Amino acid sequence: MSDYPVILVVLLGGLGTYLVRISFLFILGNRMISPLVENVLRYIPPAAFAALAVPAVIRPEGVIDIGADNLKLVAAVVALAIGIRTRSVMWVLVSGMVSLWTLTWFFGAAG
Amino acid sequence: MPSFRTHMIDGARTTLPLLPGIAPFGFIAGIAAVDAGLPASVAVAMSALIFAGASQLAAISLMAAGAAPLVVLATILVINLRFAMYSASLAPHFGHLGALKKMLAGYLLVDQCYALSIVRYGTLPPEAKFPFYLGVGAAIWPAWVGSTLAGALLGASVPDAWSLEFTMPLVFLSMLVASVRDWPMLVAALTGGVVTTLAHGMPLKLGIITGALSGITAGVVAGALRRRRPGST
Repeated sequence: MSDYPVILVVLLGGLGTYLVRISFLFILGNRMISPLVENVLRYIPPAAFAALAVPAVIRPEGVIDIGADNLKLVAAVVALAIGIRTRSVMWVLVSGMVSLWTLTWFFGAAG
Repeated sequence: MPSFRTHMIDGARTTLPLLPGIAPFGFIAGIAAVDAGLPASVAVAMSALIFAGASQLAAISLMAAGAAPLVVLATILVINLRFAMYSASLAPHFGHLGALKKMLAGYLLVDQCYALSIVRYGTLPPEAKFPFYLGVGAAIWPAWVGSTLAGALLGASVPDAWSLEFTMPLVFLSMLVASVRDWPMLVAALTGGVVTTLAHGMPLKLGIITGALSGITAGVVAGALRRRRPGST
């Protein structure tokens, strides 16, 4: 990554994110946001986080693999179930990693 | 009468139980950056300047995959557009503040800062709102940047056999679980996940953006359909 403009991406990414953060603080003041805008913004977190999470476990090696031999997918399903029950970040991390380690130990480093 | 400082300490203290959940994210962001070949200084600069874990991790993996800088920037912005929602929700509470305080509040605006503050704003007196928020941010910021530095420095010595790269999807998964609160949101998540997976081969690594925008659209449509059929959940 020697010739990649990493610094520029970090600076502009930070600036852009900052502008999003202060946007409504300066535009809205004491008024409320329009329900129409809010009705779009509310779907960003579930859509964006799923877009980041799902491909990483369904195609960990680049090809779609929804079989039980995809150990990362199995571990992710366990972590997801525990996350839904506990609503805890730590439990998702712990259960997911312990599941993957256990599965790899049993079945070898297939995934 | 409680002072500015008292409210700030209240905010910081409220945040303490969350720090064990934040530090691993930062640690992972540091490890991921170093794994991708970035120097530790850039990893820390990302955490200090972008200060938004999900977008940092996405940017790191896109840069490592050789995506065009404009695509990386666009992906960061789409993921972080959710801050506009927090910004709008906080605006009425911070409307009376001066420009400098608003700029500082904006800098500290992350998921946890927003979530912890907004649940308390129903009961806090108006003059306590900003110092409380500042206290939350003052606890989160050093934890985030410090854990990124720790991850960047220690990451290289973690053996590959530990599969630490798997913590990245787990982080996203935990944020996903926390963000789905009703059926249209579940539709948004399922669509976002499926479309991004299928769009993997898209040119210019536009898969994440395409998937996220598809998910948002599907959520809006599902929400509209649900409102037309009252009684359903």
